[in-house]
Amino acid sequence: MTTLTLRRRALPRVARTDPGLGPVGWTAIGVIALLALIAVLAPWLAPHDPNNISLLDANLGSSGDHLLGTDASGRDLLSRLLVGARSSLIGPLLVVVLATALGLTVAIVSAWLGGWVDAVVSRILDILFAFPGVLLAVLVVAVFRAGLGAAVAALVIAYIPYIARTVRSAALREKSQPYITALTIQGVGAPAICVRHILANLMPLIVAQSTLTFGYAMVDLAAVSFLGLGVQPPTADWGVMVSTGQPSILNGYPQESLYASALIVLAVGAFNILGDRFTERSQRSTR
Amino acid sequence: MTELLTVEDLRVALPVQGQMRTVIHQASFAIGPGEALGLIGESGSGKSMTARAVGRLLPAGAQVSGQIMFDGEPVLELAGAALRRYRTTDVAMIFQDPRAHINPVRTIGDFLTEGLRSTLGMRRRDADRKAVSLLAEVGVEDGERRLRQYPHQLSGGLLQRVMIASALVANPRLLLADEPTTALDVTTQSEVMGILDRLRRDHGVAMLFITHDLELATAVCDRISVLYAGTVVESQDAESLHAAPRHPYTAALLASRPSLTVRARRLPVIGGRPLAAFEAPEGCAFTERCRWASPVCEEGRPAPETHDHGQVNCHRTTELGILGSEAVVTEPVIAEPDKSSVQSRGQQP
Amino acid sequence: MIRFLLGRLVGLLLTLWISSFVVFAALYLAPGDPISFLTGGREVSPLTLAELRHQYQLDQPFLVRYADWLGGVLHGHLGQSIVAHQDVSTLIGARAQTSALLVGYAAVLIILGGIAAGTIAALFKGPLDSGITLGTTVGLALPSFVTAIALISVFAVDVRWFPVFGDGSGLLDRLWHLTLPAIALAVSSSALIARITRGALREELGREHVETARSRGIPRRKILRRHVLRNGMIPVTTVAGITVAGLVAGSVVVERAFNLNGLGSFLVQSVAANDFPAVQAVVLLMVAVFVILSTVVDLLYPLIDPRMARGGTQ
Repeated sequence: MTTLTLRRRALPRVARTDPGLGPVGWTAIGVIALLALIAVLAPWLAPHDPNNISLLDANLGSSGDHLLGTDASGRDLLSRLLVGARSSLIGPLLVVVLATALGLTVAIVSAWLGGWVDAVVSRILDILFAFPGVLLAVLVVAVFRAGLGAAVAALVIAYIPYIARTVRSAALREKSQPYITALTIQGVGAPAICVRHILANLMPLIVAQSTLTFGYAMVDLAAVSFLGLGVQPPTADWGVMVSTGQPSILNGYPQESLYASALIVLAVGAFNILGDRFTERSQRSTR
Repeated sequence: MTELLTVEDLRVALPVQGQMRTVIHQASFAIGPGEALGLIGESGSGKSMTARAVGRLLPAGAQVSGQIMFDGEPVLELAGAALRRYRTTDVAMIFQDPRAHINPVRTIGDFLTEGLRSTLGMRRRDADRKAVSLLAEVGVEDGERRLRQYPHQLSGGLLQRVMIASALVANPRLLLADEPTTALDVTTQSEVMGILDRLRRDHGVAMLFITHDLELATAVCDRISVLYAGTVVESQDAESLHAAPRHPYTAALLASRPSLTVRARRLPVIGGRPLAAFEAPEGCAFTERCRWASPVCEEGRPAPETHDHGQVNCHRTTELGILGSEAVVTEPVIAEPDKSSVQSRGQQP
Repeated sequence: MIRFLLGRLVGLLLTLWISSFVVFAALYLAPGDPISFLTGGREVSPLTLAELRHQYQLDQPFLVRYADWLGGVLHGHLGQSIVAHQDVSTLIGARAQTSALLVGYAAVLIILGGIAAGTIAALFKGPLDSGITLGTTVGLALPSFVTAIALISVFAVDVRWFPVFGDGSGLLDRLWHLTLPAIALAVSSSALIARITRGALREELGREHVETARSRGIPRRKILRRHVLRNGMIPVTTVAGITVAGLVAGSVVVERAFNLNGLGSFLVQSVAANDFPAVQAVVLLMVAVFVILSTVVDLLYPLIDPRMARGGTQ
């Protein structure tokens, strides 16, 4: 047969220019950076002691002294929101780092070893899937007493299966690539292949997944604190503030709940948008 | 005019990343009733888009100019019910990859009879009976059972026969076959091609046969048009095109196929790379790869010149006349691997 | 097919059994002593203490207590609440109804609203699509309790179209009272479903088989219904199933925000009161509902995607 395609795919591929993160993506990064900076500098930025109760100053509107007003106990809202950034951001950060580290290790080891190890790991993950994050957090809190530590531990356990499942299937795909066989034949050791090649190639996916997980963790931790089972009052925390401000709403003072809610939505939205951008880019690079 | 389909000066541009890119520069050809025309070209030459233009299946945002007449009707102006009727009863398209082009979650029966029932208002039982008889014609036995099966339960060759049956089910007058065997195993290709060829003749249906396989086109088509960089450069009767090519590109194509009798160490190749329509220069698009190129070739697009067996678009056709394929084979390109790319001008850096 | 069903059933039972063990063991290991709640901090004689321990079977070895508890659960006795001195099943009954209504209501909103918004965004490019896409981005960032707070501050103070607190009586009145909670529970999940629907439909619209249908002259409405929507619903169903199952846990937060007397509020109260039998019962019930709903979706999958059906492949 006559083959007319003389050089297959000789046509110049229209260079797929990486559009980058785009203005929206960079805005999200800016928002996250700003919030992180606030969390670090909070004690110096806060104009008042966030826990200073002054019942005479309860539910004040915004004024020169209290820029965002005060809560039902007369505490300065701006200071509480600034300081609250700390526990509100550190909690999700811990969840993401621990759950990703553990989930990643489990996934790559079980994908690499295969066989019964993989079967057992998959089975355990299946059972962990049976516990929705918030429910597991409630159970763990019931056992270990309310607090940020217990809630973080619970969410780490609840998130491991989601991270492990995604990474495991990606690692299996990567493992079946011919270059892995080539490395094995050259006598490269399993740990080196796993870390220097498989893990390195999965990095964009992991970064994208972690960014999205941060958003979920933030929502779940704030929800646990909102239930009164996470961060304990009087510590300033956005989730707690949404809850403690709730009675004041009915009295016509919604500011504490609304400001805290707005900050949660802002942070979660920024992480979601950035996570979506990272996901798009990681998919584009693997295609 | 007795032609069933005439395409004149068809020009198509598609939006690619916000820019309009010409994919078909100037395509003109005609197909008579019951006649088969082969449209030959390399990937990127615009042959698939030509078939889609005739079927009015171009992607959204495409800019089309020129004229397509089907049985005296201007195809490009059809809309609404008239367009649906044209697609249902006048033309039918056979796609390259049946696996992708048949809905995986609907049954074979549904695929075959959907058009009959929804646009022609045929009753389910009659439609089923017609589908079974067509399946038998394309060599698929126990049609009743097949109607209830899903695409993933059938092999690629079998699916392409279903596709052929579905194209014929509404008795169209023109088939648009877009590389109908390219996605199949080599062993089933000739079988499916044989069925398509036989049925087309039996039913007296005309065909626009899109392929990159010159040999195959010669076997099943009455006439052949050669497409290069979105332009039809030569049209002839299949036999005479094969024996007496007049365009240098056609001649080069004929030379670059393996011969059954002569054992070549290395097949001759056409130097350079095929151009897409949007990157073609002002003059003849083939100039930079043509061994007979001269300064005159860069002066505007060659106009079609008619001769006894067809047409050719070449500035130098009167001087060159019929190009023997031997003339091309003697090119020294054959022996030296890299020379082809060195010789060709305008190579992209 | 039957083997597939049996396999799923065995898997389901195994998961439930291990979950029950995990739930029971977790609370067994808990450092807090429920007895201190029973005595309320008063000094009691060792004899009374022993009697109480015996009454609540706190003196038995772990496995015996687990076996007893599991046996009771299988017979519908979820254990004895330490705080209310009643069988947990009786305490749960009415509350479970409220929670089920809430989850069902929210599920309907999520599926109808999400699919409708996603379909509109997929089919109409331009401002409608951009608007819905922006809406889903915001919606995905809205935790249920934030939506709840926003709804409360609007409807409790400014406009009073919907009741903000309370459960209501009679089915219609109860649904009326559950409207705002259901919306709060549904917003972010609807955004997710809308986004998945839009993506799935856009992908199907670009599929080759849709081009085939167009080339056969099938009317656009029919192509959309029979090919684009039909095929696009496959991924949507999976995500919607998981999402709706997850509402069981999500309802805890919303019930608390609206002071609804449902399972979730009961769970949070029981945790605060160290009422371990009640916590065990509610968590187990919620896990069971979640697992069963997920399994049902799994089983539905082959029905909507024939490629997944077992057997019959040539």
